[in-house]
Amino acid sequence: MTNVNNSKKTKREQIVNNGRIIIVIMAIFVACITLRLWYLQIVKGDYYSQKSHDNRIRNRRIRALRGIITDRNGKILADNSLGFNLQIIPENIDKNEINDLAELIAGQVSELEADAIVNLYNKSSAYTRHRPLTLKKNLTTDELARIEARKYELPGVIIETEPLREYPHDEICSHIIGYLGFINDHELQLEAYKSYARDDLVGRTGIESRYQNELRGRDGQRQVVVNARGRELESFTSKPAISGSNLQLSIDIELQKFAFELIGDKVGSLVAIDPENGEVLAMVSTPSFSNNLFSTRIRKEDWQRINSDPLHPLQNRPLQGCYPPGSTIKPLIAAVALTDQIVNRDTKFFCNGSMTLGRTRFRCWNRYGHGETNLLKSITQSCDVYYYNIATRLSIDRLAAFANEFGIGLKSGIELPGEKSGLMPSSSWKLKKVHDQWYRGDTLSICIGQGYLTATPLQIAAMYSVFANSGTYFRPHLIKNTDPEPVRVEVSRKNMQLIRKGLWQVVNTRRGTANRSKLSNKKWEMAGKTGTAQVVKQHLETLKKVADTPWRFRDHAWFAAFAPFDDPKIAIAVMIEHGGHGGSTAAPIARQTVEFYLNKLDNLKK
Amino acid sequence: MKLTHRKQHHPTRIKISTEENLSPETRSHLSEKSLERSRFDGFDFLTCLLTLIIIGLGILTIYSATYNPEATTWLTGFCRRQLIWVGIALVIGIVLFLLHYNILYQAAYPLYGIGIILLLAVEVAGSTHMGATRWLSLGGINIQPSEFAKLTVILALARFLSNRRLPPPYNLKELIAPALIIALPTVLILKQPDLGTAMLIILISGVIIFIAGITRGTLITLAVSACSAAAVGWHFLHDYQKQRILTFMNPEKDPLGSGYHIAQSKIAIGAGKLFGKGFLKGTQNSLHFLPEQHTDFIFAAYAEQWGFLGVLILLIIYFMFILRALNIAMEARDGFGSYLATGIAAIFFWQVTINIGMVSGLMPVVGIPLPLFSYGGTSMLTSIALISILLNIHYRRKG
Repeated sequence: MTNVNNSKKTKREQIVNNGRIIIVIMAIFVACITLRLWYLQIVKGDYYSQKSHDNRIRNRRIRALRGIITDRNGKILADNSLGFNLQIIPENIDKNEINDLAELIAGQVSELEADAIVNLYNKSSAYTRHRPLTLKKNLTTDELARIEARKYELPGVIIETEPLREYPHDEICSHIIGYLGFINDHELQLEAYKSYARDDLVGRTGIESRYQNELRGRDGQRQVVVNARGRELESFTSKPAISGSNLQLSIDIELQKFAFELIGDKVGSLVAIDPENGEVLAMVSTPSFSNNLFSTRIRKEDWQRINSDPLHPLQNRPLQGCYPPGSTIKPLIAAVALTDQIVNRDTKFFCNGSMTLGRTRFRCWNRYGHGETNLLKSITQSCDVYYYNIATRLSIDRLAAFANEFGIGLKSGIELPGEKSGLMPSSSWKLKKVHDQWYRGDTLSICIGQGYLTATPLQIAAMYSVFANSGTYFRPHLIKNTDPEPVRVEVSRKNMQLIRKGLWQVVNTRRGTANRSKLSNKKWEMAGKTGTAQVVKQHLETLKKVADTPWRFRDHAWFAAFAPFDDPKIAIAVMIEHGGHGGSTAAPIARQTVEFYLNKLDNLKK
Repeated sequence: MKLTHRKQHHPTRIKISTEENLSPETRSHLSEKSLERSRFDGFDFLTCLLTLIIIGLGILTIYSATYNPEATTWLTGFCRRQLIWVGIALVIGIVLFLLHYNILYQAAYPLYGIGIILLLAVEVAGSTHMGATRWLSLGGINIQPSEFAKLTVILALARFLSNRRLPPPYNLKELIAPALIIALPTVLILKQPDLGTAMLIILISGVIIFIAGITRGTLITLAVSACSAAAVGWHFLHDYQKQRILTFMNPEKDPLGSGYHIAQSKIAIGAGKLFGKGFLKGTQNSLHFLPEQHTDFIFAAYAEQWGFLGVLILLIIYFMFILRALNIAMEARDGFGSYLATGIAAIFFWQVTINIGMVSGLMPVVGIPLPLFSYGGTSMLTSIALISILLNIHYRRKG
């Protein structure tokens, strides 16, 4: 045997011996793998089966439709419309055609660049190519028509619809309806928003906010079988969505619109209430804003424009604006004086143009004085001295309690967020807030609607509806058919008739402060009271003419009224900021609004 | 003795004429014994049968993995293409079978040289995909020289060891020369970087060297140094490689990122339970939750449909196949044949182990297909060529 043969033989033995060892080692490996598979498939089989099932079933939300808001006659105030969004599905578009397609799309739709479309397209990865990409939200009808017309030249381009909140009357009643906003991260963590998800819209102000839970409805659920890329293969509804409740408001949108346009660019409020039940018929706040701007994400410049407006269009003046009520408070003072027998229908005070209390001289608005003045005359001609005389005999705390019965100084509880209570001061209030005792002179100011006293136009309107219905306070409300409990105020019918007569004379007699605002249709008569609330004290001292005073120093103009006198259907308060005299600025607006409404009721009857 | 024994049972003989181009061992062998043999005696029907079963199961699984209920033809694209590849591979396999495997002995070193040149060419002019430079473009065809190098290392190692006059077992010093043969292409492949193929070459070479014989002390030294090398090597890994290994340690930590593949394939395998969901009923697979469901992760698609029983059957078939290959190695006529057959057995063994280990979450994800089973022309061609060489070695085994 050669050397070669020797070595070969040794090699052969090695191969056979080592080969057996290798077989054993490999068998161990195979056993390990088998054990592993046994573990996965037999031991954990059920666990992975469940996972495999969960993998392909996804729960998708079906958005519930938000409840519709209508006015008292069923006219729609807040509706759900469809927004049309332009989208592309990258996987349906050929790479070579995207440039041409982008050009074509950009040509049909404004504010869209071809380059931006191509960029968006290129960004989608293999795993997201089936997902639609939104190119533009809220297409105009023109754009929509152009895209639809070229549908066959635009493969991979789709129009997605999205429910949008739409307010057909826009700024006319945006303060009442409010608007929606996307839920924010902070709210999502709160217990109250537990059932909400990202991208949910919630009411931010107005009825939308106050009745968020009722309007919202309940989202449904759809189970879908998806593949690994999330594409839906089949779906079935497992829980249908329940639409939100519809709400009917007491607002008469035609009246609201008429009043809104009547006020025009004046700054102020108008509140009209049905005195028979407290339903708010119209509630106008100017300047206003477009709540449709908020229905999707509001543009930054719009928000800044609205927010930085010095006239604060977002403020809901009828219930957030607290103004000195001026002479519109006088019937209330007369009522408490009659009730407490400080005066009767024949009590007369002499007005020489002012009254001196201690060292202070309190002026009547008429510097020449009204002469002998009884209660009727004091209302008709709005004599301040008459009420100064009452004030010297009246306790402020008694007045505060009495005024509260008419809703003055208290929040009415109207179904809108942010209502202010105004201020009906009392001696304890002054001690607490001003750290001073109550002086008689303070009461004098209060009794002509100045001083610490402030009220919202809504409170004044509610107060006048008590005079309208001869003594019953209904909580003013916006939701139709609420039927609040009627509360009698402590004024006798006889005294009520007297005050009402005074209010009638204001409008219907030659000496009345609103005698130019008589209703043109002789069929109805309006009763009301003007008011002029001082903005700057100085003005009263110098008695400048209204036209000579800068706008922001002019007095606020009030007019509160009800009609028809015999069977009131509407009580109204108009308040124009810096409007000058109530009789000349506010009263005509009230008169036309009242006439519009009464004519409308008349036409309906026919 | 054995020869006479065989002669009695198989009277029909053929004479194999190729006497030139034989290894020294074989030539010396030839000088003693005749090569006459039964025409079918040496043909390994068992290996052929096992091969065809695996290919058949593979095609069924590819069919189900790429099944599209809306397709009009019953044969989907991948399935048809795989069948075509099998056809081409079988033709090449038959041609390879007819040639004596000693041609490979002659060609071993030149092929090894070509392999190194191609790897160097990749270094210089390779095209880069996803951060790795592995491909070489030759007239429009992209080839991956690391795959080719894997085979040439086995050939060169088999020739070197069979040619060596030094008697085994080898000690550390005597292993330097074969280690260089392994190291040269491995380093080049690591630079690409292609950690999977480099590891595979080391593992396969390890089996060949082990069967050739090494001393116990060397074995222990190598094992210890391999462990420490792994620790040091960690710092030289690319981020994506580290990430893969970290992900493998804790796949649930990142279920939608790089752990996604492992997590989803584990779900697919586990959901198969004992009997499987049934043919074409695998939802993990049909809804595309499985990544690479017809290539590297095809085992998961198979396991989901056929369950633990199906998996067991496939593993047994593979194991029988590998045992058969090792048996051929032990019975080969010469050292070259033995080492070559061992290398082939090792290729199949490691690929199956790593692939299933990876798919079932035992090992990190490396792009190694399941041989004969996964979709892919190159893999199928290589596998069938290797089996053909195996049959060749067996056919021309020592008599």
